[in-house]
Amino acid sequence: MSDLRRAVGVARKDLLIERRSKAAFNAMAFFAALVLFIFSFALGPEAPGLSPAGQTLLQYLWPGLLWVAIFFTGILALGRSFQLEMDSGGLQALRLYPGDLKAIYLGKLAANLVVLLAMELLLIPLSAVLYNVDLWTKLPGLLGVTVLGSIGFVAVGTFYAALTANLRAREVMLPLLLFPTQVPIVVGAVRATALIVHGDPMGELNVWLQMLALVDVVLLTVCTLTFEFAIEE
Amino acid sequence: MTNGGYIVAAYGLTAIVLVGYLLSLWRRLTQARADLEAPDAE
Amino acid sequence: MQQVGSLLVWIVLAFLVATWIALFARRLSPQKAGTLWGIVALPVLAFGLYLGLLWAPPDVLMGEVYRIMYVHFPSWIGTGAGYLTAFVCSLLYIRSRDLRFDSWASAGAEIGLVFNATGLITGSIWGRPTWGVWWTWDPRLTWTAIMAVTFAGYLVLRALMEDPEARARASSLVAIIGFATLPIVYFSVRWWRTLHQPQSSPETVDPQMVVALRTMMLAFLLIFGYLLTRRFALAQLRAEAELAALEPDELEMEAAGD
Repeated sequence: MSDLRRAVGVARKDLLIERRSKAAFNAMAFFAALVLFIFSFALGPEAPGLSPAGQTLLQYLWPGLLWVAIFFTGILALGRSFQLEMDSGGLQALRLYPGDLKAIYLGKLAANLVVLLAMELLLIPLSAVLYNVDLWTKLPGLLGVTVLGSIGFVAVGTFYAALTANLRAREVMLPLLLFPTQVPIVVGAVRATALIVHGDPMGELNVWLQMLALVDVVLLTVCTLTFEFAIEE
Repeated sequence: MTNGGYIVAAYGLTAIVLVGYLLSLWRRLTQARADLEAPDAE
Repeated sequence: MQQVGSLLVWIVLAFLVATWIALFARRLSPQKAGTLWGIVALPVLAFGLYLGLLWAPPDVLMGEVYRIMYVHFPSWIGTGAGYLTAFVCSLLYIRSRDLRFDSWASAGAEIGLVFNATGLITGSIWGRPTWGVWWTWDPRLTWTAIMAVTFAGYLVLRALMEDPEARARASSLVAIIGFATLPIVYFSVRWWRTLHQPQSSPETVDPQMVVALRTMMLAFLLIFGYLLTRRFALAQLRAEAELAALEPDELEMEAAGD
């Protein structure tokens, strides 16, 4: 069996478990909705925003708020992905299979990415409705930014989820280790989202998308090369 | 604050951090040596 | 004084290189080298403080406040040396599985964080009279703050894990990933700020200032070397204690197994 098929197998197994129980997804969707409400309470639903006149603060800040919500919610999905294996000793079994351990990483990564993207498909329209952001014409570009940002987040996130799965304080350690590495993703994704939603007079969007793609490649490479050490016994 | 005040604050805080770390390192070293020499004392 | 200062800088630099060569030739133990560095650091530091605080002229634009530079920039030398040690020794640990490399890596991270703290403190104090605020989201300042968070996470992770091998493996990976992402974090933070204001660089090329700064940098590097070897010694003592604490348990388990 080739490594690619092994990776697909791992991803399908995780997604099947998730589809049957929906434990992670329900918690994430609920949490994401709560975060959106908290932002509204904290910033005021009708507080005026900056530049284009008539905009509310929530509309102005929407790109940043969206990515904060995605990151906080995404942590929930990542924490679960290896917990699943720890409880039933599944990781030992996975480790015993022949072939490259990178396949486990790529499989887990793919499963996490699918769950995160599904959550974003819910979160983006919901936040747009709640904050009155007009984005229906801008969905294709937004989809590209979302996918690129999510890949970078999940690449390091899956790695650190595996590394911290054994720890008592994993709920604290995962964000503590993960967030400092996510600075380039936050910067790039929020800026690109803002350019799409608020307009792009200088034509900068492509540069930011290229930067996001480059960061994704770097993070994926580093994490793929070192993953086999992260799940050693 | 005057210019001199900022300089004193910067040099003073740097000294406090470095000397404080040095003292804590020495204390931890003597402690570790003592623990290693008399492990059965407990 | 100018000549004396430059000469001293070269002598200390030659001394550092010589001790490094002796270390790698195994003519000198790390502990002895550390003691030597510590002894030499004191006069160099005293001379550097004299040069920086009294001898060097005030800056044309910033006046006297710029003298914070003589502890601010050397702090980054210590930070960089510490994190680089952590990164290189983590790679060496993953390759060799020799726990001594893990001790060096943890020593480097901890001392890098100490110098990172002094760098951030002095930067913040310097920022107040020059920019009017204690903290500005200047790319370099922001970047060093992210560095501090990265390696603080490394140390927190180590504090949480008890098994020496698992701790060494996990924390090595954190140091490697954290250090490897620092360059892209730097460029992203710079890009993030480009739309606002370019950073004015206070590179005043007064030869007196250069000599004072180099002396202080060498002093901090020597202090770093001393602290690093002592922190390594502490890590080794703790490793021995962990081993000693482990052995009775294993003996009991074996006895129970019989």
